[in-house]
Amino acid sequence: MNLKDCHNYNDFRKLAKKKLPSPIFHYIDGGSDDEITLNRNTSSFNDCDLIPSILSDVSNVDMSTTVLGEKIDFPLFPSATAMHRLYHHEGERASARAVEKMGTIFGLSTMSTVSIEEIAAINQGPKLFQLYIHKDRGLTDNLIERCKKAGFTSMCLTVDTVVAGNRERDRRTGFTTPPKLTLESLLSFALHPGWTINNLIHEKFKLANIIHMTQKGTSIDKSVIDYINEQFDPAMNWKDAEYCVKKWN
Amino acid sequence: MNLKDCHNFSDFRKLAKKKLPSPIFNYIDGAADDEITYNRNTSAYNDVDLVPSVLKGVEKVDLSTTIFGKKLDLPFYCAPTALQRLFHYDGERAVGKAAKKFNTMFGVSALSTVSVEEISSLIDTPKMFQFYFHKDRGLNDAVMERVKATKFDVMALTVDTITGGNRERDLRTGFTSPPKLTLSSLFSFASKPMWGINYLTKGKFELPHLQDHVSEGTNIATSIGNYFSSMLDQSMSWKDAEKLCSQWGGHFALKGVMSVEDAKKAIDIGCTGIMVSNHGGRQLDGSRSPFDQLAKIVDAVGDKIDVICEGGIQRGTHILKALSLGAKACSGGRLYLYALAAAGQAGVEKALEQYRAELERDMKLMGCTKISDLNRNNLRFRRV
Repeated sequence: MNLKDCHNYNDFRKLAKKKLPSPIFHYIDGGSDDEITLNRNTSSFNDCDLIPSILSDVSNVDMSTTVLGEKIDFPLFPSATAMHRLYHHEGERASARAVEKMGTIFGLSTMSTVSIEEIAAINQGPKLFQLYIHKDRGLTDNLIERCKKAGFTSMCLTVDTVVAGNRERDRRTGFTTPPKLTLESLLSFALHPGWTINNLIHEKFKLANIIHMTQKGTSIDKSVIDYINEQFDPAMNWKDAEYCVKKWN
Repeated sequence: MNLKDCHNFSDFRKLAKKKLPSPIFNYIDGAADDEITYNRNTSAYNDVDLVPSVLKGVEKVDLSTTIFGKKLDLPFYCAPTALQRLFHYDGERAVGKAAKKFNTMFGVSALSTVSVEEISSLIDTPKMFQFYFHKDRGLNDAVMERVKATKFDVMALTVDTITGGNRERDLRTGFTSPPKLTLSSLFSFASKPMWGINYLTKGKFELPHLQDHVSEGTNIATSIGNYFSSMLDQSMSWKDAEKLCSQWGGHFALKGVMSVEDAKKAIDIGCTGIMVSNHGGRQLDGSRSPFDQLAKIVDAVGDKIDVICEGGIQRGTHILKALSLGAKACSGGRLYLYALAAAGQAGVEKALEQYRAELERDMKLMGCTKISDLNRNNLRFRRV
């Protein structure tokens, strides 16, 4: 199976499963607790039927829309997600380039593995930054300032990770970044030598936006869950959000 | 397994799967995207229950109905489908003759592999032609004239294939017509030698209605999806449909109407019928199923034009439920295509006889002796 066999979402998922060490695949693929909400997120679309109109001259279709003040070519954009370089050695560089080509918004996470500045140089299109408020307010301010300077077009504050979700698959696989080679997961990494080699020969994995601000940035010997619980501020309230809006302006 | 083991739709499907190379089987069997609409087309019937009446004296049952001014012995018919000689070497000849035997409507596709002239000479029972609106207006006119000259009874304009559906099984198998022997599909063709021998020896595979007009006609080395997307006119509008309707001058239907508004407009442009259909789930996945949408459309236009419920029908009870809601008749493609692939004309005849026998039995159990006895009092919906 390879790229030319991928005709839909599911095919890409299958191929990703083949390529990634299992702790990393399950970090992407998993949800919290029993994954009922994860599944319902998609199945709810099936509870609604489409009723087409006919004979309406559809030779030209315009899919563009305006969102967050930016006109984009089609009404879908990839959400900001963490740590792309775990999934492919090019990481956010690859996703940012692909998204620019499609003429839509690129979302970059605070937890990205390529820096705000480098992404701004790669992708000239509209860019959104996904901000986490850290306990260290200096870090939060610094991120906002850097996004401003780099020409990001919108800022979004994550408000649903005030504490970490219970991602049980990660507990079982021992998912940490960089991956902790437990006996259990060692075999899976050994079985995916392509991933492992790419991970070793390319630049060191780092959380590029926060590396200089926290020792954890260079080498999080913690699971993502622990990181969220330690670094993200559970006291975050409407005042903090208002502060960020003003600061971003 | 052979024809005598086929007792229902599922059995015919199994036998067809045994007989056909997999790209061809999956062309029939597949649908768009995740095939959610395809599955709903059938499962929708299970959300409504039948409530029988007893002690009605039901020894004689009359299944006849009248649509498009033609009296049919059965309230269901063979919907037009493309490329039938790919499924069995007799193709449309087999299906047409079987339909004639039961005196029901036979639908012939513009993408048929036997000509309208030949069909006309074979069967004198009611015939419908399924028209595709091509970019090439010369082709459109020529097809229209040919069908007129051969005295078809109904013209049905397809309105739900403005672009090709995303039929992923075809993408995986590399389905084209005639079949393209890729390495991956070669094994499948080699493992069904009878299909291959018949395909090669029983007459050249042709698309007689298109071959004079397009190079693709003799050799559509493209998927049906590509054909729809590249050959059909995406600017097709109500004006175009109205023009075709008056050009035809007889019974005219729109095939693939789902919205109540569109059903009303069909009356305005002179249609005498509509097929409530989503093309067997092969076009827009997520589209509402014909049975789910039927009541609304019947309520709006059922007293003015013939409303046909098309798609998902696998049982006599499905027909019974659709007719009880107010459809004048039902139709389907897979309804007879698996049977065609399984055993040619004999297969289609057996399938039609089974649906007829099922429907007759179900009518008796319901306490009904004629189609006009069927109404919504026979039904209870589990959820509203």
